Amino acid sequence: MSEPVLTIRDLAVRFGTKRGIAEVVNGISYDLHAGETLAIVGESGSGKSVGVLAIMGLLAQPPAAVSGSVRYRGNELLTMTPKELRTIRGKGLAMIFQDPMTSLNPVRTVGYQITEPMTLHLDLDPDSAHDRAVELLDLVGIPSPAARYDEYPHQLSGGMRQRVMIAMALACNPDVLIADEATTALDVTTQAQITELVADLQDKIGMAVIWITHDLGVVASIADRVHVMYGGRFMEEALVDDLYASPRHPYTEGLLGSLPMPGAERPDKLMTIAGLPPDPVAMPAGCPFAPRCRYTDHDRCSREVPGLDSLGANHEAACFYPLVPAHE
Amino acid sequence: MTGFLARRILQMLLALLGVSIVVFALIHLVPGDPVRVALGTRFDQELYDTLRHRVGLDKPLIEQYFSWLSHALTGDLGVSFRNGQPVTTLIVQRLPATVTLALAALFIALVVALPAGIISAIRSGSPLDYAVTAASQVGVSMPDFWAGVMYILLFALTLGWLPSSGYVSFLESPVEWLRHLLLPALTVGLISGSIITRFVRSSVLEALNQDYVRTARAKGLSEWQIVRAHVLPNAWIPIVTVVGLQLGFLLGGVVVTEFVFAWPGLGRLALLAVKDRDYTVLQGAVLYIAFMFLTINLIVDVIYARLDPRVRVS
Amino acid sequence: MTSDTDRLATKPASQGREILRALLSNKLAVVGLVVLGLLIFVGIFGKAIAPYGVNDIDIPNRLSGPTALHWFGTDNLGRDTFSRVLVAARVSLQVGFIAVGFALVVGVPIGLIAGYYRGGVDSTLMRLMDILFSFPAILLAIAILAVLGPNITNAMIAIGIVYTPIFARITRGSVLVVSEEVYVRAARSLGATNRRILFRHILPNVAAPIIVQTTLSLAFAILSEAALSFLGLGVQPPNPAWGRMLADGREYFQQDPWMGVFPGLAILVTVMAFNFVGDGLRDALDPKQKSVIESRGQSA
Repeated sequence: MSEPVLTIRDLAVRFGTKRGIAEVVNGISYDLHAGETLAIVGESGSGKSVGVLAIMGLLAQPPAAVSGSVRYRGNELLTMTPKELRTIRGKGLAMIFQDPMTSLNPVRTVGYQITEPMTLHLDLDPDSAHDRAVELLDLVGIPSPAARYDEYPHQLSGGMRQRVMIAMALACNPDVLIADEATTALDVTTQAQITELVADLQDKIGMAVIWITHDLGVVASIADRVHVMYGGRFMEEALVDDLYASPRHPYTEGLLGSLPMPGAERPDKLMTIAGLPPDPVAMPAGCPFAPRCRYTDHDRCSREVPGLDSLGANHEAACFYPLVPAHE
Repeated sequence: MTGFLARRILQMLLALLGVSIVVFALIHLVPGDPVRVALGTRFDQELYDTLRHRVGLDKPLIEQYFSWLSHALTGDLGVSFRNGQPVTTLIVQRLPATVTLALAALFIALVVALPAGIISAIRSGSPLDYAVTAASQVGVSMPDFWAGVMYILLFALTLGWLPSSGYVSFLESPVEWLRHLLLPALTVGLISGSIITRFVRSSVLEALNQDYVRTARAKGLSEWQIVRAHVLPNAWIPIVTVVGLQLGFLLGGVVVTEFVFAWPGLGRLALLAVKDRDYTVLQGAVLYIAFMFLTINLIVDVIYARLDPRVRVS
Repeated sequence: MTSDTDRLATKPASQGREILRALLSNKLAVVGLVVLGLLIFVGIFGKAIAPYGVNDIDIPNRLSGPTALHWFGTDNLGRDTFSRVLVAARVSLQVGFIAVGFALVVGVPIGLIAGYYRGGVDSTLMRLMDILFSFPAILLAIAILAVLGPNITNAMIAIGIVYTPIFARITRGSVLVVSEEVYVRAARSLGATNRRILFRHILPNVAAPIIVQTTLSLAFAILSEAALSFLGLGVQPPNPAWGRMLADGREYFQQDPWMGVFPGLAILVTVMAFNFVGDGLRDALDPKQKSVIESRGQSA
């Protein structure tokens, strides 16, 4: 096993707010290897986006306070100066966001926005940058790429804009691509196209991808590994097939049960998880999911925070009473 | 783009038409007989009849309007009740002073507002930002006549550095021209600058909060690079609009400042016309000012359309 | 049936409290409110609390700067400036409120109708407003006063006319947005009459920008009144008005520079107070409020 590209240990993010300190990310750790696809799944408010923003150094500190360790190719990112970080952002680590319309500058051409990181990081002359940008536009499946170069974001459809975002992110051949809810704003067909595209590009370029999403349906087709996040912590970590076949954490069970699946046993009723996600300013003591859990003992679960216990090959769950594996 | 332009020009012409009707109506809405009121104590039957005939008040209303309008289109705005001079001449005489003051004031305003607005937006929340915001709050609320009077008190009467009123043509003496221009331009310019500062600040601030700035950061750009390449190109657009509107306002709306400094501009012409009940001059001045105002608004809209690709390329 | 959509559209009372809390947390707005409170108090009780009569002439003590007896000094006739400034507050506030009231009463319905019915009605009404917008504010006011004659009542009307288009435009803008909202379409599909929709559903939801604009327009209406009386076109002597007092002070500058300082300061403070409150309201009601609301762009 080669060295991981990204090593995250005990990453925690706290925000100072008017109501008090919000504990948004509470100690997550993982490794990411070249070519791997990791999906981080969770509801809104679980801290999944904040976690990756912290990795990229895109959180303003204050009001945020980031602690822990984030090592990219062996270098500690959290102690770097802003200047040093800027040489990595957009080059080694790239990120795409949820809404491609607002994430693209409306008054600059598509071509300009794609060549921008190249001019910045790779010191390319304008002509080479232009040619490479057109190549990238072609690579991401945009028809008539040369013509598109001079167009503006509002002239493109939603799916095409997201492709442009991907082209922008790939401009400097990053090691890691982070997609933060990148398909949420798209319709289902386009979603599938985008996820396929990224998987395709991964094979070609060999980059690792972190998919942040709340949509378990999207995850199934694209991820190697899945981490389920809740209340700023990882509740379960598994290979994708294992997770779907045999979820061990009550929260994961709830998430999967709430997915409409054709041919499932009870097609008339979707499982819902009662209650609301925890308030980051007032995190409960003990397991963050305990207040909503069907299986809680109301004693230990509410007092102690369960750590991630290994339950088998590449499968961990943070629970004192993990579910019985489905196929025994 | 041409379709947009055509529509906009049509809009302006319609507005101009409406303005002309309103301005024309001015003289007829005066309670009583305008000519009699204008002559006041200098009433003389012969003069009265002549003037009435000149102005055409003895004809039916619609005919009067079209006659007046057609004359106006050829540049003939009638004659002053007071001294018989052609109104157009009076207006043209005033133009240099008006334009000079407007441009000088705008220059001062921009020199102050652009840096102040941009920097205070970037350093939002800092002591500098508070200072700029506080100063612009005062500036926006300041009565221009009070500011003018205070400046005269300080710079002219107490320190004796600058003259307290009047206008000197550039061609006569550049130095004196500048000395006389400084205080009125400062008076209006600082107030206009405060308005523009607030606007620049909020435009830049809004641009800074957009998602595309986050994208730019994710690409590794420094804050200054982001401001230059992404924020300003977006913020320019509404700023240009405000600056244009301010210019339009400065050309005809600084009546009070012109009064305080005895600055021979169009606004003061209109004001004196009101005091003298010189309705033809008032009509001419107001019409001309509205025309300039509308023209500038049109130009601003066109520039806006050119700058914003969302409008331009559609 | 209609009550369902009513429930959807009506803002809960707790929102009002939220807005109040947001407003009060804005320090500047609080300062503004306090000053306004004081002003209104002075406006009502000015005459009673003024230490001297407004027209008490005292020639031997004329043109003095601030002293223990006369906090703001005296004017060219020996009248106490402080007392005059206090009493003049009432006039300014009166003119401001009535003028803006006029603008509201005329402008808001125009905006409602234009924005709701759209089409030809909208075009016509907005063209009319455009015509009014074609003149710089103070010029329009002066022209109106030229026709009507310069006195305080006409000044109110003139300023009111000048500020009507802004209210029309703002109301219309909001109405255009709100009429696209789901609850309006729901109400319509349930058979509510246009009038009911306008008053029950649309008006409450466009109230916010109108309230903010009212406050800001009050600021500039007062500024306009001061300008007009400075020019001699508003309040006529011997009634005290801040603008008028400033104009008089200008004549006697050489002998007593203080005469013009305090009335001007009074105008400045009043306008600032309204501005603070207006800005505070704007931030409290919607922090992302775009510049639909026009501030001093077009006034004196």
